[in-house]
Amino acid sequence: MTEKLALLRSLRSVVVFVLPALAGLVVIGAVIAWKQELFVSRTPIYIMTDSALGITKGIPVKVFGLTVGSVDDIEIVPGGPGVKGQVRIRLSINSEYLQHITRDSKAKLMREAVVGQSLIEITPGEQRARPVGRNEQIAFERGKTLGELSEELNKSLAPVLAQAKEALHDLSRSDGRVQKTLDRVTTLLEELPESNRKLQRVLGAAERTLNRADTALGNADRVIAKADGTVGEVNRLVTEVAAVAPSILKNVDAAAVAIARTAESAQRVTDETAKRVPVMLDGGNTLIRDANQVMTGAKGSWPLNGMIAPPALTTLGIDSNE
Amino acid sequence: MNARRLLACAALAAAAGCAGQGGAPQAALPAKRLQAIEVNNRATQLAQRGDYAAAAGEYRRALEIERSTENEDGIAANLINLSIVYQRMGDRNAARAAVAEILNDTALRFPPGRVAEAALRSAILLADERQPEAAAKALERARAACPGACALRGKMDNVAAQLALLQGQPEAARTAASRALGENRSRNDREETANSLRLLGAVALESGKPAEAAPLAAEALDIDKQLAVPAKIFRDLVLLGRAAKASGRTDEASQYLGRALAVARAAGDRNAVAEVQSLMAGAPASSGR
Repeated sequence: MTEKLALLRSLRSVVVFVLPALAGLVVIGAVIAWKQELFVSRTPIYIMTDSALGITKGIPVKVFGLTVGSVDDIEIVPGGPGVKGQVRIRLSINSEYLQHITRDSKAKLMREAVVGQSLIEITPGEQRARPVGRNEQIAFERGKTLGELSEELNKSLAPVLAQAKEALHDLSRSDGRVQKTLDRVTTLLEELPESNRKLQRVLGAAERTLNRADTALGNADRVIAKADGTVGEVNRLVTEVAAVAPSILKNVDAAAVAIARTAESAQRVTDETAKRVPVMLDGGNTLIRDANQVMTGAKGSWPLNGMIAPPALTTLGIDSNE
Repeated sequence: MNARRLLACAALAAAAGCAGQGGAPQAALPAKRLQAIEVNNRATQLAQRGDYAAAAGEYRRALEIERSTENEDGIAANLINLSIVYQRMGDRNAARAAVAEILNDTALRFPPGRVAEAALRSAILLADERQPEAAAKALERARAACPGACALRGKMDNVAAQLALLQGQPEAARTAASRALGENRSRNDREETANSLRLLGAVALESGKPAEAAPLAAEALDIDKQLAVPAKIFRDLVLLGRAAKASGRTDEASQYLGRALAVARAAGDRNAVAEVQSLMAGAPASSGR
């Protein structure tokens, strides 16, 4: 009896000690299982592709940027006569989110940032369409690879560089529009003094003639006989002036019009260039920034980050016999 | 429960044990630190190419960035680099001022390793200016800042040997240089090993043992040629010339000094050209330091 009691007591003490430990383990296990989403109901859906390059088991599946599942299985579906083989990829989707993936949704292989982790993003289709069901298939397309992105960068850089090159070439060319305009302005400016001198000469001659006419008229009474001749001379000179002055004035007018036209043309060319330069610079800046982001991302990603030594201060090494 | 869940449950205990031990990603350096490092690295590249003026400009920029964030290690590293570049540009005052900023500053707490480097640089500059007492004090400070198995010990012993030689104590110089040679060989520091060999050669020559000096200088020359340092190659050739001359092999001495002259001319070092020309003319030889 006493032995039984002792045995019961020792059993009770063991139970008291072990039970909380077991309960603790169960709670921890349950928490971890819950964290691992082991009790979450999942629904498999499928996508088909020509190549599974870049897709591995376990990569996340996202809808609206939220992780709703993962790649569960990848298998090759052998081709038959006239039908080429394909890869069938099973996506394990948290059933809770299945309502957001309609039958016409599209899956796409992408990367987080430019060179981040691979993922499959599902873009939901029309809201009216019914949600995808268990084991059903949705459309799939590949996102752009780093190479394709780089090619796109190159393509967008090319026209900017071509524009810059063209503008610079035009500036430096002797037969370019800017250079031609400057030449014309220079020529016209050089011709202006000569036209001015001609006009001065004609006006001087006219003044002298008028003076002489005045003198002749003052002596008209005394030299009445010469009056007719003098008047004739005045008439001749006035006619001469009248004949020459319009052509000179016309020349000056033409020169002024040409200068105005040339200045306008120069202004237009300058305006065009001024408009293009900021665009070119802005485009160049954007491209350089993008390229820098790509390089920074690439350097920070596996496996490049293991190959590149982290930045550190350098010292020149002290030489005892400097 | 499907296979995936079973597998997950089996791994539960292991997962629990491993939880929290995942490798954390490396924290990215702040932008300002990265900028300072980039400028510093650019300066070092310029200095290694021999463009000391441009290197000094970049080190000063890096220094200002480090000062703006009070990064003591960065400040000290750039000041030490500046002192080296200034010395190579021939501006000894600026070189001394740069290291003095580390040694005299009481507000900032520079890492002891950097203080030792600064004190050693100060000793080297003072030895170059023939001030052995002041240099010895600076050397003591360097030793105090870097006790025990210090990476600078071989360099410190080389400077100590130079100072002993300057003070006319060949035995003390030999002891220090021998200690330095062992230390530098064990660290595989070839530049300092060549310095130790050259010092031992100079000590042997001063002690009237030119036959002992020649093989030491020849070994130093081998190393310096591998490292391609014109100033050191010049020193080795001068030492070899002086050793040959002291041994009475005048033809051999002329050959070595002629080679030294060619090296000095090619390197554009006017002082070295003048020195070797005076040696060739039979004037009293300079030290083999």
